[in-house]
Amino acid sequence: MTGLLVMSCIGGPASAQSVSEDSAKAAFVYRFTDYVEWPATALQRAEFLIAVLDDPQLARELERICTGHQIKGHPIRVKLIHRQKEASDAQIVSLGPGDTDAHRRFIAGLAGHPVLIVTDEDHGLDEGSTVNFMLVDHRLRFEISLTAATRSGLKISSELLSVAARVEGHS
Amino acid sequence: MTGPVNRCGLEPAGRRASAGASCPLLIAVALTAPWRALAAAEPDLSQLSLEQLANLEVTSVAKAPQPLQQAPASIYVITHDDIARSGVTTIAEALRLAPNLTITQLTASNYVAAARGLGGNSATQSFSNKMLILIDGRSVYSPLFSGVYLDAQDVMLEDVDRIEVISGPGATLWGANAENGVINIITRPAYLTDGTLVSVAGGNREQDIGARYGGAINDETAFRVYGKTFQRAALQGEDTSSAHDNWYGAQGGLRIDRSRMNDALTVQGDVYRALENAGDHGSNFISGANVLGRWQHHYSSCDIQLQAYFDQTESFAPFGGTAFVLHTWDVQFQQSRAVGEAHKLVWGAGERLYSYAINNTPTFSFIPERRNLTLSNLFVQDTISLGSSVKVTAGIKLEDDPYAGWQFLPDIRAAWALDTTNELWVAASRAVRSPTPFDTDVQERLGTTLYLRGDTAFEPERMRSYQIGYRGAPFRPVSLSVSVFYNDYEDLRSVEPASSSVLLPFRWANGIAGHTYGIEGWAHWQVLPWWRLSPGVRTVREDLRFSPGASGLLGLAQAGDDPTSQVLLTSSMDLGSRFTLDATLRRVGPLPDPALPAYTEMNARFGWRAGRTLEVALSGANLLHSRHREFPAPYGEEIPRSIMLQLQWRP
Repeated sequence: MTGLLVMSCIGGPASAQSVSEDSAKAAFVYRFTDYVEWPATALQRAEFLIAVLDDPQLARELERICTGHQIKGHPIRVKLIHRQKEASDAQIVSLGPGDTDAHRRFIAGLAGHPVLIVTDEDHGLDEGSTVNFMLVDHRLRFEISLTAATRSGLKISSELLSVAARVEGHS
Repeated sequence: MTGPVNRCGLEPAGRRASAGASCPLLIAVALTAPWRALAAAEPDLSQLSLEQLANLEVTSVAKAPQPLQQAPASIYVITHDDIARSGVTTIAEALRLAPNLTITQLTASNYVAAARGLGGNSATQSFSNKMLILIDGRSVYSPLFSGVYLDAQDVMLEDVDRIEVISGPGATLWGANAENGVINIITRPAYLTDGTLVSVAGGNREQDIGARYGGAINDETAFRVYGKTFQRAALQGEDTSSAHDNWYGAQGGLRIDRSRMNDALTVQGDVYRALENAGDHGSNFISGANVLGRWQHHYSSCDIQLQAYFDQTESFAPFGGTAFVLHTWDVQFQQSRAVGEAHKLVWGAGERLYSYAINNTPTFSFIPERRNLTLSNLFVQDTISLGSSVKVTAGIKLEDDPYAGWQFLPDIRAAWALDTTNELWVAASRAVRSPTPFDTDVQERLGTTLYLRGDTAFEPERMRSYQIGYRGAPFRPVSLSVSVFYNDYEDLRSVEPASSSVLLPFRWANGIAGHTYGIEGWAHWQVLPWWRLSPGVRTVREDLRFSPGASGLLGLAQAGDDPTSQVLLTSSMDLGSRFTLDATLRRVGPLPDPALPAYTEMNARFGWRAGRTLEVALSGANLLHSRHREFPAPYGEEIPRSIMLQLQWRP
């Protein structure tokens, strides 16, 4: 917790370029949508809604990266939210900072909704999320819970699973 | 024995506090928004494949807004979890968790916080007056004497997000008095403190009850209200009899946050009252209230913040003794923006008005007894990226001090990233401790004889600081921060006779100079997945001298009766998913003059998550001895061992 440097830009190998964690995370979340299949009922609204809980910076990054793009033929809307009931229409919910207990309750409240829940916590999958980010050697990686995906009615492609640092459960 | 009188340090049995400086907003603001804007210069990542994304190097690891950790400085962050797991019930006790601070308890309600030495000396009416403490951007040091009355500072500790403790100067961002350190107490926004929380604690030394309720006003706006009350037992005098300094108090408050993608609005306020037993003399009554508003807005390439607050604080000694009422109005603006790809610019301006009135007594008075003081500031800071691994931050603050006029407070820092996890940094800064009414206006009498007076010729205490540090993760389960400092002081406060031929009245003067140096370091070592050890150490040497012509009265120890060393060792264990065991051992070195031997003490807490909504803990403070002393008598009292049962209920 201390000692984490903050300097940006680290030399690294020739072509390696460093980016902020939030922008990498935003790019991942955007790319995930190509590899996740939502039930048709989840995509009946005009917009594809990505809700970001309590993390304005990530919301801004997502909005930036989604500008001019569509997901599954829908225009994308990124919304910063603070409460669970705002998340129920979303196809993706990304959880920001907060207590494990609060996250657990939040996720439990979305049970049965076809929503991809993304966290960035030490034990994010234990909280009930579907995708959890983690830093490995200064690279942003993610783990996937097939159990949670199945529970939400989502299908995750094998391509995405192959890139995941860890896959938990069975579909 | 305590008493407002003493609050300003007038009487032998004085109370102390740490000191603070100005410019709250700067902190919160300057550092949150600014460092983020860099993202604007980043490439379009939406075209990258999953594999490419997974191979990108990512910079910051800080998820929460912890921008200060990024600044090249000696910064220790006490987290929400650290506080919860320590079992502490006050800000002062929570600050003991920072290895770069020394906390000294004098009486039941009176604590002193100091960093890097010169922490004052109760025996000579000298206070820890080179520290700045901010609570959610509101400066809480007393402009009357530059110290902080920690007994008047409280928050709902369960709602604290973190406490950032910066040792060393922060004057360019925070202003005068941010000389030896800055303590930034930050509570969570209301939308992160949803629901009900009730906490009850009882033990042999104190009883506490607190409750908070948080809810939503609409989709974008959340609020919380809280209330708490406490009573704390008296410490013990030399013969183990009561020191008659027990106290009790209550505080309540409200916070409303509206957060949207590109702007955030916060309104918050608190009200508090406390009664502190003053022995045969009745009780001191302290009270206060504050309200603060802050607006932050994000544009594509810049962030702005506007903050304003009003703070009222009062203290009354019994039977018409010394009293003061202090009103503070403060407004600050700040903007940060990226300029080109290499520059990150932050600038801002602020204005503060202090208005105070003091009830003088025959033996202790301020002439004049009321004043309005204004403090204006303007600052600019640029962070320049040189190549991929070096960043230079240069800044200057101009501050118009009510006594000494415009002060120039420059600062330059450089950070060099050795690799992705290791960083070296250096800093050179100038800071001052501004004159206060206690330095310029005070008059103290013994009977009818004037024996000490302030001097309007009192100059700011000046310092230059040089630091070099390392932080990083030298190997996997260990993170480490080490820094070395050298501070060069001029015009520190001394006591001089009226003239070369007349002794009385003594007067304050600027007759001490010299330097201090030392090292501070700490590490977090994740020994096992369930066990973390966190050692911390700090040393300080003070090499002071009287300036030519100074009388040498009261000796050099008047600048600070400081321990030369302090060692902390914290162990944090998760015992399964339901139990936690935490302990902090601290050893504080001996005090030179007045002398006190070194002492070792330990705090510990055993926590049990008894159910989804209930947490039970048994905690103890100062467990190793039935009682111990942190400052010599008669200024410091004996502190007994404390045991407490704590319940926290979150339905």
